[in-house]
Amino acid sequence: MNGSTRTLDIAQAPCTGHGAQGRPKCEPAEREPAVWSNGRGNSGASVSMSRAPLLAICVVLAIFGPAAAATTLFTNARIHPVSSPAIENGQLLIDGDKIVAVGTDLAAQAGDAAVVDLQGQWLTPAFMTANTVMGLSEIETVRGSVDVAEIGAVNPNARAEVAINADSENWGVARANGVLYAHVVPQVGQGGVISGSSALVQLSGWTWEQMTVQAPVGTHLMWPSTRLPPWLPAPMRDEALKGSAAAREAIDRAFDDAAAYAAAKRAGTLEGVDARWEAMLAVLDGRQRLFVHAVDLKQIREAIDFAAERKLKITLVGAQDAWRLRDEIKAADIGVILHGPFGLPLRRHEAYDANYRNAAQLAQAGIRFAIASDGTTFAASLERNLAHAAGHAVGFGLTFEQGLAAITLAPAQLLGVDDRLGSLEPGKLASFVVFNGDPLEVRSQLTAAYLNGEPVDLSSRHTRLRDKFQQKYE
Amino acid sequence: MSQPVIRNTKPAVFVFCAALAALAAPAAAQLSTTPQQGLKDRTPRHTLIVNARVVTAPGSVIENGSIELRDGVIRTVRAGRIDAPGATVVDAAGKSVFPAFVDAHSDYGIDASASCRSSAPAAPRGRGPLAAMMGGAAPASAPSARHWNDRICAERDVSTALTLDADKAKTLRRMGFGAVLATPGAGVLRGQSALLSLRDGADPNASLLAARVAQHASFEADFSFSGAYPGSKMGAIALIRQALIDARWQSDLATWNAKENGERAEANVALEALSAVIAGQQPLVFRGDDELDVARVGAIAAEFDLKRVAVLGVGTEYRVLDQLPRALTLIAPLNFPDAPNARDAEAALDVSLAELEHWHLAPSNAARLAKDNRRFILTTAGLKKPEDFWPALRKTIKAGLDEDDALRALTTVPAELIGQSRLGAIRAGAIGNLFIADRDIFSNPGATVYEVFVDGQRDVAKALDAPKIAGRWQLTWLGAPGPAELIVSGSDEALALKAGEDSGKGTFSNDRLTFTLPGKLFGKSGEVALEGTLSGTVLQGRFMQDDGRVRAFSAARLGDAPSEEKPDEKKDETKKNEALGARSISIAPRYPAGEFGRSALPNVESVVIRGATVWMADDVPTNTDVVLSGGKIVSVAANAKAPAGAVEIDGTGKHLTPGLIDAHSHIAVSGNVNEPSHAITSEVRLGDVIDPTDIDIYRELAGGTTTSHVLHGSANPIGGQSQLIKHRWGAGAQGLKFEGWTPTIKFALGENVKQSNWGAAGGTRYPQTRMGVEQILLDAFAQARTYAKAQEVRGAPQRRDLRMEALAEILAQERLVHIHSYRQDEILMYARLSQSLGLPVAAFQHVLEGYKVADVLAQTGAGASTFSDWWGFKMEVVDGIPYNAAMMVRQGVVVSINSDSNDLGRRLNTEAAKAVKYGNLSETQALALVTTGPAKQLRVDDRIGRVREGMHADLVLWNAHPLSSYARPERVWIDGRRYFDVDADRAEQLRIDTARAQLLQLALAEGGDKSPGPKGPPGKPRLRLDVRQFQVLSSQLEARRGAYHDGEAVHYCQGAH
Repeated sequence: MNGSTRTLDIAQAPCTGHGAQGRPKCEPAEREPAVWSNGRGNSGASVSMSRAPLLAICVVLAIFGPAAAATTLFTNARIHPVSSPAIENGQLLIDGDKIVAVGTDLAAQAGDAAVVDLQGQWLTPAFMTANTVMGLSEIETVRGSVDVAEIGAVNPNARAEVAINADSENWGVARANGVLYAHVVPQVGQGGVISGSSALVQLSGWTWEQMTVQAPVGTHLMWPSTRLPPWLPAPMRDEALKGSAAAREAIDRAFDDAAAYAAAKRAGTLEGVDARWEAMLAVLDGRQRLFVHAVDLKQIREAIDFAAERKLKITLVGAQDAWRLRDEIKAADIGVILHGPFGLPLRRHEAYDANYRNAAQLAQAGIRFAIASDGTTFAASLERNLAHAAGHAVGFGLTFEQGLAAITLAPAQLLGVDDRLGSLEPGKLASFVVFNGDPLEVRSQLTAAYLNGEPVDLSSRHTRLRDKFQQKYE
Repeated sequence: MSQPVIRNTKPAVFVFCAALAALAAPAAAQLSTTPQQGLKDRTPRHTLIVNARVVTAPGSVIENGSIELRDGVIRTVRAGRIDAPGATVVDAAGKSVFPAFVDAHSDYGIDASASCRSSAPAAPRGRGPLAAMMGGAAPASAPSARHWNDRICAERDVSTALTLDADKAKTLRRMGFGAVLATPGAGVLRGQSALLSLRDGADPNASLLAARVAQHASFEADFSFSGAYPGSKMGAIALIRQALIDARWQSDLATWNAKENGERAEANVALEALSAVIAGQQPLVFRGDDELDVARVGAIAAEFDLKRVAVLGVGTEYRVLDQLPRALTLIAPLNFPDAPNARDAEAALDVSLAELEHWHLAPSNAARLAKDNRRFILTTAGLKKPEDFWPALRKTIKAGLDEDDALRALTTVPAELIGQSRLGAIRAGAIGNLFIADRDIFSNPGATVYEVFVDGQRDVAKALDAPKIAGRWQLTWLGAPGPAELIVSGSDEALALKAGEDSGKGTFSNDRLTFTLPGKLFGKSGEVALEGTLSGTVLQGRFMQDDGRVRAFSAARLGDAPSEEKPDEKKDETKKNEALGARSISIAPRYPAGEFGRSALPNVESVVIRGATVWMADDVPTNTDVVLSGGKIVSVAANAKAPAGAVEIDGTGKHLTPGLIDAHSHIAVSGNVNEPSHAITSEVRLGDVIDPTDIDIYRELAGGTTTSHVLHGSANPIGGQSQLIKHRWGAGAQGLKFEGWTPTIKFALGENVKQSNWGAAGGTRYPQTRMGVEQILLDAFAQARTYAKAQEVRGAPQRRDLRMEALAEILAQERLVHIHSYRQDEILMYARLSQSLGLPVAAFQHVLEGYKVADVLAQTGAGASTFSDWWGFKMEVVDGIPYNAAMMVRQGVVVSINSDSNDLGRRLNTEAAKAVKYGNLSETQALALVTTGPAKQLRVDDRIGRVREGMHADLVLWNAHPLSSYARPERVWIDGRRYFDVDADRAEQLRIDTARAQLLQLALAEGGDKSPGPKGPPGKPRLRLDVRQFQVLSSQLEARRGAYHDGEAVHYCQGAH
């Protein structure tokens, strides 16, 4: 401060916390490791940390705490702004929680900003996982820790954000791999069709209120499937199909009833309040996004027909068979949040890489799409693999840029927050990540992350356990 | 004494009652011990069939012969005329006589709802909704000296509880069947069948030809995870093996006791009943769930040296001709699938090519079996209704089955199987079972069965001289020529009548024609109903006028109806043919059938891969040449010399690694990977239930995986015996197995074995705590030690116990333990337990807290096979960390990373790569996690896991750095055969699309609009589930899926089991 330029070694960032919005700075690990090498030798960010310098930096930040709100210039980085071409040896200037500029020589503009030399590492926007139950589910098999699905078929009034556990261990684990935003989506139980409204959260904050970036993001409609394993015994099959038909009817009834409610409300003839249909008003008049979760061909086709018939703008989620309907999806300009590319082909006759190639086929057709997980409770602890999923899709036909966009700008656009997030552009929030290599490569390591201009705590239950037991062997 | 009824007390022993000696005895009705009520029936039973073409046996014909039947027995058969005074003469001129059929697998006479043990319906038991949907275990049986297992009821004797039905018998009889084997329909060892005559009536004393003819079996299991044993196909196989062993042992012991000490052996009526099978007096007839079961039955037959074994198949046996043991008799059903629903393109998308091909090929199953010189039987079993028999049989003939072969499969072969030489042929002394039919009955849909004789009893289905109603008729109307010439066509049940431009409908039965015609023909309005009786060529009838007066009409036959095809039918036919050569679609045999199948295994190649970056496992990757020949790696050297004729592959810019090894897999298994019933099930063997049609084998191959350790699930402390396979996609079950490996067994600890996540259904089986887990393991080993010792004692015959035997193998270190574990306490417990027994631990599986006790693992030499990054999905995995593998490696543990998933098994390379990211292993160390690491744990590191001279030529050529997210295998070799090739794969995808399109076109032309039929057995749903619920339950339901499934995602060690 005081006009002097501070140069921070980025490798020291893991111990630093975030400011007012985040957790306490220097949240102590259970025990600090004496040595844990996190470098791979070729990144230039290889550093051996010992307790002493680590604590020293913490002290520095504690003293200069407000510095995080000041301007910082990140230099010597391979920057992928996503909204514009990559910049070799690029620079990023942030001021407070916003990006000021992205370029190659921002020294003049930076003035007395702190400078962080990234030593040739990669810098990209923070990742956004666009379909998850993180925060709603901690341990799949422990009922008390799972709040993903309310009972009943129609729950448009259920709000994800109020049930999000700000202290979930999943946040830290995902943050450590660059996932700083999550679209938390309520699910349905048996026979359910409308699950509730979703929330976009940042993966750090004292409370869910602080974490919430936007809520509601949209309402979620879970399209019933009629696709059953062919080996299912006939009576089970029949029962299942009856269940699907009932769910399909429940969708139409819900939208009809909501429309009737809206009409009565406009006419002033309403008696009392129906929480469900109140929550549907914004969906019906197009003010609120409608996400339709549909995986197979028939589900997707029916969802598209439904949207056209009711004149609703929808975004598809899941969409494993979307490539089969790409012309129609493109024509209707429907955005897609893909489960994938991980997961198996749906059918025996499909190519081994049918799902791996799905994203590339949508990209080729010019469809707006994001890559996400399948949103199961099992996946909640594995959202950290988001970039690997994108990388795998790149292995099967996407360009690197498309792969990176699919977990940054594309989800931001599909969730309606691209005015603030998703790319490195002046005026957007300074939420970005730094990797010692290609961020979509499974071997690359994240060395720093910034959320709203503040360094992110990269420790997690996993690093704490690692560090704790590492001591046993020393 | 001339009745052909056999009252044998010994199984399947045909008691000949000196029948032929009684030829001259006075004609008599069947003799009976039942006191006579009313008047004695003394109707003579003596018939002479003359002027017939007699097919005495398949391939043997008397062109103009006579047959004399008397008192139920065929007395004489010869060419020309027989003198048989007093016999009723049947003139069969122009017709053929065939031996009546024998159905060797019928449900006639059986109460379908009867379970193995009881006639009460089975009550569901076990886990909530699933158990309710799947039907439950057999009900508890009354106390008796039966087998301990409710599904073993070998003592069941169908003849003691027959459910005869005269109408059903008549239906079958009139199709040409004379005898059926009434087959028990539930259980694993189901009991003994009864041979029934299809004679008129429902009198068991008259109808029973032989009791206790064959023992019946199936691999039935309770898939509801109810705790009932067996809960898996491999469990059913183990149960059958143990029962056969016990039956033999029990009889040996009884003999020994009688001789040595007079002690009494334990009584067990089921085991006693099995002695007839073991002695070869009774055939053993299995009911298979799919074509893979035939080989499984063959293995049991071979193991117990059973000569008379048959299997009721499912109609897909043609797919596995080269895998079928020749010693078995096959019983082939005629239940051909309906055409798939091609009109609904979305539904059709879910139909696999294998299924489409089967629809097309099913009728040719028998012809293919015949061509391969297989001994086979045709049966009505599996038909929706018996009346489907003839149309289905004709389809089979049309599809290439020789008529004689068909007749053989319906007469002599079944008669031989059940040891009844007096059935199935027309010869003197045989039982009087035969039928008179049109000569072309096997091929012509319009041909008819006229008369059937069963036990010499005559049953006329249709008079031999029955007048024909179809034809042209001149109506005479009130004495004057009628309004028009009448043309009658169609079948008797649905006649079409035409008079000029007008038409009507009618039916004809018992010489009586009932029909309607437009009234205007007769100057009336509306329709006129008429009826008439046909005699010869004259129809005499009457109708009622409006005034109530009855008037007569008559008609005289002018001749046959002009044969004219309907023009639109013709068009349809043309359209059908245009549907891409219609029936000319030729489907070359492939294995597995349908998509991605192979017409032959790839050749062993001689290959030189030049200039690729070669990952030799321990060393730094280097640019060098690798030569494969004879299935082995023969050279790894720069500028390696190529063997003559070797294929040169330019590896520049590419990477070559060893084939990846998955140390923990559950793919390629039929009928549940868990035997989830008992806490200890070391007797079950994954090797018995390998499913070579599992598409996952190919999908993982495409990801570079060449070897997988197929493990039992983790539902019990001691699970089953595992199987190491190579991904030799295209080979049969035996061909997949890794030769010469040290066998392994799956153990498990923690939440799954104590059923923590089973909801209310858990909580009764020992153990319920980790304390109990240790104790049951200790106890098992203690019992195994005692067992092993006892086996060495000479003297009384020792019982061979398959469960104990496998445990004794562990103690003898002939079988290695791979143990599912998560928490450090349980890891440590078992490490110490095995240490105390002096046993190695080949690998702790999962071992997510291995990093907490890595020093102990290293000290005890235990391997560790872990997930790359799974954690947090249940309580015992909350401390799982992705640094686990690296931390264990650093402590000197032999570590592997496994998939435990048919999805992750396709990306072991990037799973391994995560150890670079988390924990900074070198890239060579990381790749070792899926190559040398698992190879060492599996004790096959001398053969696979490295690129080195002398090793198996199991190799993957990658387009990029193998640990990269962007890497794709381009070629994968196993034993020097190129099992995956990315170009061949693309070509195959095109072939699949084309072949599916062709077959769907054909289905469209054939009017298939039925939705793809469910294939599983019926069950009783009791609650409403929606599809989403099914997806949640699918890993449990998956236990019952058969071969050729879609490869749905399943993870076994993650949640409930």
